[in-house]
Amino acid sequence: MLQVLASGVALGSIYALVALGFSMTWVTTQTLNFAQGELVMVGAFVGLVLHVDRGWPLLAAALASIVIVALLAVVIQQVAVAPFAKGVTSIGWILSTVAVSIMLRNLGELAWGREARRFPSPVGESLVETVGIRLQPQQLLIMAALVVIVGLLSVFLGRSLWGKALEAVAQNRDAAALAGIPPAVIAALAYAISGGLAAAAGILLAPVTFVSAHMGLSLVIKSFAVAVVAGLASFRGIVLAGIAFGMAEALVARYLGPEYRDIFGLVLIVAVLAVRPTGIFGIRKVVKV
Amino acid sequence: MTDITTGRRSLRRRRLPGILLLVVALAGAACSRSDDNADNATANGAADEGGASGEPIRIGVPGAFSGPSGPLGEAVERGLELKANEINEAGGLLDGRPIELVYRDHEANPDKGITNMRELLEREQVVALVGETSSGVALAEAPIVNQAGIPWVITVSTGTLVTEQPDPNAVYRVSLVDKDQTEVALAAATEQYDDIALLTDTSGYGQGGLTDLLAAMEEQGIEPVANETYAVGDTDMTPQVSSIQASGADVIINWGLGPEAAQIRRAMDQVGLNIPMIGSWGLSMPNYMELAGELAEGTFVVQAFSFDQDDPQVAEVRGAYEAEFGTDRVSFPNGVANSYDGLGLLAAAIEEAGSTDPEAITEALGTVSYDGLIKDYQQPWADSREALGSDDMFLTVIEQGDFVRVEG
Amino acid sequence: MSAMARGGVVARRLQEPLGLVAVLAVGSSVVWWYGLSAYNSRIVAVMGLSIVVAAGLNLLTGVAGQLSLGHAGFYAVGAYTTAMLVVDHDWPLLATVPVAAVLCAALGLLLAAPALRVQGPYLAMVTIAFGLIVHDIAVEFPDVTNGPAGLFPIALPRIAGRELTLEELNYLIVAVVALTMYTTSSLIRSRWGRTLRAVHGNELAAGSLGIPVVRVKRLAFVISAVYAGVAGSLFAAVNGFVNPDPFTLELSILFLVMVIIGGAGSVWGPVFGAVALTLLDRRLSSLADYRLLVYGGLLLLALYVVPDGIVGTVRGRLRRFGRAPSTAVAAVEPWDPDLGPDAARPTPAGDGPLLEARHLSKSFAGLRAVDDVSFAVERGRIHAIVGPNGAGKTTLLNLISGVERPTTGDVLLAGAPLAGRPTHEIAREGVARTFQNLALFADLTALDNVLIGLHLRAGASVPQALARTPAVYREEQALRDEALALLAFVGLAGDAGTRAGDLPQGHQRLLEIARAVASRPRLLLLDEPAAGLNHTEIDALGALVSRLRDAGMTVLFIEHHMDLVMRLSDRVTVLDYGRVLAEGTPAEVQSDAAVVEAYLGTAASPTPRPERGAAEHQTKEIIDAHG
Repeated sequence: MLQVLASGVALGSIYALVALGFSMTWVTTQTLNFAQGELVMVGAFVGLVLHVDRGWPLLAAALASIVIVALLAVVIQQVAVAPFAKGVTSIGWILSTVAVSIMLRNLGELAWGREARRFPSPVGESLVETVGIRLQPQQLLIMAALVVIVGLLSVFLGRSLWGKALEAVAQNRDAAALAGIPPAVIAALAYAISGGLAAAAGILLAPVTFVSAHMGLSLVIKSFAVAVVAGLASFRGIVLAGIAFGMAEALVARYLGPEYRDIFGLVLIVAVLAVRPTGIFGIRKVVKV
Repeated sequence: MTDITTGRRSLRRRRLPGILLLVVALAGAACSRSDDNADNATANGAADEGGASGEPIRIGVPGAFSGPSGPLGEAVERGLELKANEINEAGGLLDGRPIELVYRDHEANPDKGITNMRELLEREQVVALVGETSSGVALAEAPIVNQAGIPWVITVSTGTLVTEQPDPNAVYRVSLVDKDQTEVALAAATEQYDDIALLTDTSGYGQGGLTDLLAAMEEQGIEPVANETYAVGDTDMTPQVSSIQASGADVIINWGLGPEAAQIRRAMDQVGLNIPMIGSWGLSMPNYMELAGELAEGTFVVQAFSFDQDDPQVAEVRGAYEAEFGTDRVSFPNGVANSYDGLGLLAAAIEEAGSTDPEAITEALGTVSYDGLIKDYQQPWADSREALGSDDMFLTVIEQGDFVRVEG
Repeated sequence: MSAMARGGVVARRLQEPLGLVAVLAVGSSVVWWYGLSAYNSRIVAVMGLSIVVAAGLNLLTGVAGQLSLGHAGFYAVGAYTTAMLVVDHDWPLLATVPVAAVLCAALGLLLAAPALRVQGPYLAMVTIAFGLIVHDIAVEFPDVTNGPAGLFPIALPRIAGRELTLEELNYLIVAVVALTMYTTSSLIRSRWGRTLRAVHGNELAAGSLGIPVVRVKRLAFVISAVYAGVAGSLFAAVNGFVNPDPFTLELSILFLVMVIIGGAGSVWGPVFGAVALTLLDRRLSSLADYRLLVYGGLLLLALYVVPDGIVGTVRGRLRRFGRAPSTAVAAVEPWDPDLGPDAARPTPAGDGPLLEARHLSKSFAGLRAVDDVSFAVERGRIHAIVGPNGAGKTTLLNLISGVERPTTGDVLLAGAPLAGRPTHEIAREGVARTFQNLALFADLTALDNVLIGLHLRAGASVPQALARTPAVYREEQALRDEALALLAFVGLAGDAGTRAGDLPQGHQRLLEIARAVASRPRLLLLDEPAAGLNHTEIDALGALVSRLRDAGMTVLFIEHHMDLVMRLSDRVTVLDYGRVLAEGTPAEVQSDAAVVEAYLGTAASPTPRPERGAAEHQTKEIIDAHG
């Protein structure tokens, strides 16, 4: 059982990373990128091509991938989100980012083929044995990376000028604008960060699940489930919710049966939204009437 | 009317970059495919090759050429093209008529398969069909084909039920039928072990294999000690593997494809389950070894063919493959060989029939013989619809990255 | 009436029957023409079924504005219901169709519960999740659904003991399409269609006009699910085979693209969209590698360039070539508020105040916007609420109309408590209002806005609207006439066909008033009706409000234009910092020392008002859950 839980933690960490990306853009721009899963895929593939096919050192490949995907996220924001995000209730960006996601999936297939490909783990394949369970070293790396990334993000948001600007816009967009913070730049920055998070998730995940053009879809749904449950109260909330979800999913697969695994996440979304819709992102839209 | 996006039209300017980007992207995608009929690939520029130049003999090729089943389709395509090129370069069939292959991609979707099949039969007026990667779709397409009376040589789909059609049955096959594959796998398992675990995927392929395995086991009066399934695309197999471990099984029989099987091996390693695993021919695709790496060692795989043989014909085709497709990595050797032989048999039947009349071809299929890659076929379809049987299949084991035939 | 106008009226009246005949005629010809080839006739069948799904989805997403990315799920449920009943239980196929419809309705109801409490992206996610759940269940539970292998063979339907041919099945599908277009067209052009549009346009305003927003959205969900389910059921017949493969997220997106490209919210849009995309899909079969790319690109292109879709864009072009002939304006009699109180809501006996507020308080996270406010409004009086900015006036109005719930205190309407009841119920009790920042349905015409205001006075039920009975038609006519009269009452008769958002601000305010009084409310709440009006307009407004009062309506209004307040009101309540500062006749209040100080500062130091921080913002929380 411990074994089952342990394997769930690593996957849950990935869900948390992607969910953090959702939170980043939602909190600052009231929009989400439905193509977030595909960004994970692109990040993984770019890393694969640079590291495995071109022989770049892993760290360089990872950084390059993060930068490239961050830029891609900004392009998506400029082209598909911003034109449709005027007004509190406009939903055109949902459709446009959904459109982008299927296009990216197709492009991924065209560019990198239909087969799954292997991504070598930087920490090797031999299992690590501890307290009676065995883990792939990559899984440990993922958990460690999550902690590091969340730490870096917290520092950035809390201490740096741009980070604080992001926080300000998240709290009150109009007031921040009045204070001289350009909301358009902040929006781009938020998307860039979420893109970077996606790329990091992709590169961390790749050695565990292999890289394929279709890896994005189920990831997006489950990460959204995590975000739904967490309510975005704090980064810690998402991290905890992500890990809990990963473990719960593994338990469901083991004890109820693997056919229930994906259904679990989907039903969770529907159930949580039915019971506590305000528990979702927790930000109430305030509108002058 | 109310538009559901923003209700404002003044955003034209903002949207312009998006439009431009889109146009560029779509144009780029379109340009890489020069014409609409690119997928109706003719086997070769028959006229250029200066061999066959008469009226083409059109043969339809249904299958999944995109999506997750893409690699299967690619193997079919390549095997067929190799044989068609060979034939056309040598002058074609029936006094100089080249073979023209007409492809239609159904993306493993029976709905599309049916529509495509109708298109092939009615619009494209093919005289015969060859190929098909998906048993599920084949079952949906078969009634239409039977009704039209067009002979069909299946080269990859292994679902047992596919050839078991009511009369008039137009379906023939050169492939490793699941019923026989499972027989071979089960025989290998029961030879040494008593407690067998089944681990299959939930696709039509895996399910079909499961049905056959259970039926074969029932015939022998045995039951599996564990029966687990997983979905194509799953990456974490520890739940299933843990259950198998708990059941005390001595051997696993797996029915599925490479990526998932690689994850199974990882999971087995992780929980410390060290028992042998026997897989279907799906694991003969190199992606299994690539993805599983060292963990693939010791896996048993049912096969009927390997390119690493001393046979001159095989070597020649291997060389042609490299020349034509620019790589020495054959992504699915069994599939390529089946398709090559399938078209070979079909072509031989057309020659024997002396015409492209479907009825004549069908009759010739019952008596045709042909020396192919996999074996020398002697009237393979005289008594049954299957050109290959369990005698043609053998067990191999992965040793140091190679498939080594298991004797006995 | 001119011949043109008469022709127009006849065309409007007969649109549905004419449409039905047209679809039957065109559809049958298409089926007959292509019937020679089984391949083509299958395409025609799929096209027809797509029209049905798209038409239903259009009601939900195009008209009501509720995004659904999971309708392939309902399609699948319909198909599997039929498949399971036919293959496993030997049911005759046609008998399974109503079962599929009912099942989908129930499922739609079930899904609506979580789906309608959320908006925008959450709704998208819930519907995506639904679609994926259905697909997963179909794949993962082979004991029930036979998993990926699918269910077959599904025999063709039998009529009168004889099995239909594929071509005859297509004629059946044409009939279903015709029926679909008839019912959806009827619904969209009926009062209920307007209701859906209102919910899409502005939920707050819709609620204030008596529209039960959640119930309406639920209805749209259920109806659209039924259409998809029926189509799915027939799909099983067309295919002879059902397995999970077709029912993917891509299919849901495809349906949505059909709606958008055809023209979301229009009647015939789904037809164009479904036909265009089915043909495109066929073209792309040889370019399968690029399918998703093309669909995604098409969707984006549509969003950028033709957000109104084919129908909308064409209609827009036509509109530019000539205005739709407006009905004879001069002949319209202005609405007469004296026509007596609404028989359905007689003025209650007794002479207590109509409206009473008792110790009303409202806190927003520590900020007391309204603090222990008590006052009474007598029947047939004009009562003004005044006060500096941020005094809590709009919040007070929100408390009365049900937009906000009081933290403590009561609101009584003719003795009956209002607090805690939803807006549409309060509207039903006879309370109507306008909004400070205008809450018109900007994309609808002025006439439509007022027609929606007449919601509470119309009686056509949904089934009647679907069938477009003569009674429904007659009621529509009557409503139209009354709406024109209302517009004439406020002086906007000439603008009946103008898009509300295009009107100048002053006219918009008048329009909102016309919309509010359409339901003949007992109590009319006006929030700064004179904002943005010039002198002439303010005078006209005053005359209007007086006229309403004389006819028996009670008016409570917030205003900053003091001369209007002084002229018009019978009583004035002054608020400051959420509290009642003073109350009395205009003259009394004007000379009250506290009031003077609050407005102008003390005589010694006429200082500008101090910063109040958050209190400056009169805000209303829109919670993402609607009760």
